[in-house]
Amino acid sequence: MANKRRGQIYLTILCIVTGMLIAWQYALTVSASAGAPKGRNAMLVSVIEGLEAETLVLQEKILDLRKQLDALHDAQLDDEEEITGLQEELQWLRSIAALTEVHGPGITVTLDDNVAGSNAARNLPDYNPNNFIIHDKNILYLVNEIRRAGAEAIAINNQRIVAVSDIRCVGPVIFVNSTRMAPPYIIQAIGDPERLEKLVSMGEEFTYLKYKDFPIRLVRETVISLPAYIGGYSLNSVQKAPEGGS
Amino acid sequence: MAINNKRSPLARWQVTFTIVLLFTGIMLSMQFRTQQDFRQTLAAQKTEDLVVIWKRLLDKRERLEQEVEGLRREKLLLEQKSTAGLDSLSQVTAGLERLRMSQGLIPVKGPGVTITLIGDAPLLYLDLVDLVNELWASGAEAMAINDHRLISASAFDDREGIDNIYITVNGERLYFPIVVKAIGDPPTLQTGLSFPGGIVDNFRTYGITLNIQQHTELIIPSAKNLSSWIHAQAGPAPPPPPPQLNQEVVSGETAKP
Repeated sequence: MANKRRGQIYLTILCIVTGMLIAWQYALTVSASAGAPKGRNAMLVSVIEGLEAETLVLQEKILDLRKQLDALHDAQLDDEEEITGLQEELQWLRSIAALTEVHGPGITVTLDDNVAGSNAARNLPDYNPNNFIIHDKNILYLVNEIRRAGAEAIAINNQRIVAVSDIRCVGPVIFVNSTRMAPPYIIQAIGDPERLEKLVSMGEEFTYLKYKDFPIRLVRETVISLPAYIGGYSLNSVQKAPEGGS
Repeated sequence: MAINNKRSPLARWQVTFTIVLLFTGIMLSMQFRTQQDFRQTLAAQKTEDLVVIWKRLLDKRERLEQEVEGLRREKLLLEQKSTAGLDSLSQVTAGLERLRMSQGLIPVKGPGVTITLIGDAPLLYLDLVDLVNELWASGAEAMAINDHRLISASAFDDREGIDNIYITVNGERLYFPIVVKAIGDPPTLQTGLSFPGGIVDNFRTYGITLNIQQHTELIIPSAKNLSSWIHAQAGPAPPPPPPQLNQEVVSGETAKP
């Protein structure tokens, strides 16, 4: 009897313990699945969970942007190198093409119509005023001589002379680059002043004009400034041709 | 029965006890695991800890957002720069190509005229200066004489040979027949030479005949020697140094009215 009673007591205690365990377990499971043991923490937890998700998205965005930036940087560097090289050539070509102002040592040749000679000869029977004025050819030939003497830049009355420049007269008026000129004609050239002085003053045209008593003067210059060529280079008919063709 | 009665309560008790113990054991182990898992969850944290976590996350989000913002701005700038770069690259290239053509750096082709001069009349180098000048005036865009490209530095001259005088362009001898190639509008170029009182008439008085032909396509080579500058420098001249004034003399003179 005593034995049976003791067994019942043990059993009772065990049952109580088990019951308590089950109750605790239940409480825990319920609270864990609900995710919120207490109301005010529930808010916090959901806010935190939201923040965690946001930061995760932001981190992925950053990685992605960094990758894109690297690619852009690489492309940029290539472009910049290419542009720098091309711009140097462009700069050089623009100066060669007289599209920029230019300065340097050189000479100034000033020539004018022979007004004094014309006045003196006016009453002579064979007076021809054409013999006393500067013609387009005089300037054209003088320019050829200045080019031959190695001039690097030339201007007549501030009109730059380029490859395609034309020097012509219409009636008594001389046009350079289709711009009207009036005497005195001031031809300026940049180059080695000594060489320019020697070759131009010994040249046929200069000698001829001097011989004909035209007021013509040549001075060496330590530095002169010539303006840029105003006209353009029209390329309406011209196309690039393959290299080596002739 | 007696044996059964005596045995059965004992057996039943043992069975029940065993079951209960087993169940309790399972419960305990489950309990332990649940407890462990739960300790990791946010919900298990103390409120003040949660607040700290929340604040840290807010900071972190702000930093990340700033980083994203910075990167986006950098990317936008780079993209603008690179499209601007591409624009300026194509502009620079187009400008270069035009200059290379006009300055004789590359061969060019196009419609135009050829003027052929045979050595049966006394041609002077100045006649070529005139002819070339007329062609430029008539709108020639590129020119070559015996395949010497004419550039801004090109000049004509003559030299004495062994038994005759010969014409040079850019210092190089020209042999007959001399062929001038000019690219431009062919009829305009031809009219520019052959109008009454023009260069054709002028040459004829010296017995020089110009054989002018129009072409739909001419090819003109690039210049052999390009201009290079030694004395000239691009840009305006630097201002001259201020004149050296003798201050004392100047002030002394102005002081004496």
